Amino acid sequence: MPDIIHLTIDDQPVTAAAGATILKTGQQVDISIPTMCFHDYCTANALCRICVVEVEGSRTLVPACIGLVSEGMKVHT
Amino acid sequence: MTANCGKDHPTRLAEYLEQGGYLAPQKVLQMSPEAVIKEVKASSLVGRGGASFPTGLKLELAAKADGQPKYVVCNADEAEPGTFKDRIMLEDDPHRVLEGILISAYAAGATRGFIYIRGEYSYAYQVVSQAVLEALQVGYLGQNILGSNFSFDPELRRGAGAYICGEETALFESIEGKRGLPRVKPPFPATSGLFGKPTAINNVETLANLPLILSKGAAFYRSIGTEKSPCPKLFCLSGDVERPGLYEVPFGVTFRHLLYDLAGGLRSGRGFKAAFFGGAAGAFATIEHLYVHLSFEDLRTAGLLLGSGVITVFDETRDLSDTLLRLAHFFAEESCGKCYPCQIGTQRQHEIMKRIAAHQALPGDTARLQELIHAMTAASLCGLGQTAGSAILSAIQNWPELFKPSFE
Repeated sequence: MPDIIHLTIDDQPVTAAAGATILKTGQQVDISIPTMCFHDYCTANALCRICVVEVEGSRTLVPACIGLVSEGMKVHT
Repeated sequence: MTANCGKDHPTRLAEYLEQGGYLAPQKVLQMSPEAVIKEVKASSLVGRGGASFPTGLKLELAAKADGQPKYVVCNADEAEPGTFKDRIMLEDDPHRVLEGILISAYAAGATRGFIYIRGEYSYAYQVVSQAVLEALQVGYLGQNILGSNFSFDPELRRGAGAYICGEETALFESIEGKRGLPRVKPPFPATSGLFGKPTAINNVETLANLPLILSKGAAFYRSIGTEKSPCPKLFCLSGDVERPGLYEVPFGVTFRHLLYDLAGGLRSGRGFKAAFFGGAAGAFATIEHLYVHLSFEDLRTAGLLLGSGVITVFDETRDLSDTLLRLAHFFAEESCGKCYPCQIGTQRQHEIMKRIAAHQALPGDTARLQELIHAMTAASLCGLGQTAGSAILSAIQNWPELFKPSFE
């Protein structure tokens, strides 16, 4: 797996470290994804589903708080 | 596949052996696990629990995943309303299922296995326990099966009545002794399943297909049914039909053939109104669908789904809004409450359906339902929430007049 991942969020090209979540990657470039049950110091459980985003090619919406970035991913918030 | 069903008694080992039972494991244990997987892949068998995932691929993913020990699980938590195929297979022909589990364990390289039987199926549990003992005594299960260096002894577990435990990851949690709540996927069971180890989990009917494939060969198996959906399929026909029951037909026969030629048509000669395909998470077929071919590809084109092979028939006198209310109640009861779209969505759906069934629908209720179902389908954690509204959505499309506000 490459260390640096290239993806787009709302058509904006972004790079992120491997293993980063969509939520954190969005925050880097001031794309705010709303959250409810997420907290920096707690385990993300993807329960409230407020943070779900569209990922092209995915059958269902993906929770951004635990969804990991992958190469070439196209995310729409 | 159902040759031994409907004889009013479970098929004992001696009887099963007379009919050429346990020939497939003898052949399989001479083969390499890779060759077994190749044969299953060539048969293009897909899972029979409802999701239709290719079985060969599932076994291969578990076989190739890192981690020991590996597990195989037989999902016998059959709780889909209207489904009874797995119960009949287990009660009437348990050795065929055990044979299938053994083959899947060998293919996936699993040394441990579980059979998770629905809590309400106490008779099936007794029959399977008895069958496991019989197989252990003759060495079809246990240490060094049939003189090979492969050992396998499955354990039995019983559910406690939760619909959600039929969802594979909730089922793992239940076996592990935790509350039966689904896990977030990925990781998928093939890499991180039961106790976090690689696991191949299959439905009873899927496993019962394996002995057939391995003993007769994938080519023979593919000669039954249609090009894209080969092999026989069990259908659970219930509702207002003359002869409800379990039917084994090759894929590709028409729904009309099943309903009128085999099951004797509707009860008391009443007219056909609708049929409900695929269990609680299914969709309605109308009279226009009578000539639809029962196969994955044809049903998908017709906007229906096969699910676990349930078909419930309603005659012209039935009030479908009552049926829908029961379904909405079912999902509101059975939602585990882990994720919010499903926990809140199923409750709201039930409330709106209560109004509709009481002919007290408010203006905008149809739109509210549609929006709710869209949110549940897109955002829910597991299959329960993702499909909790599909029946109601299909009814809105077919019979919008059912949902009209009362004073219009």
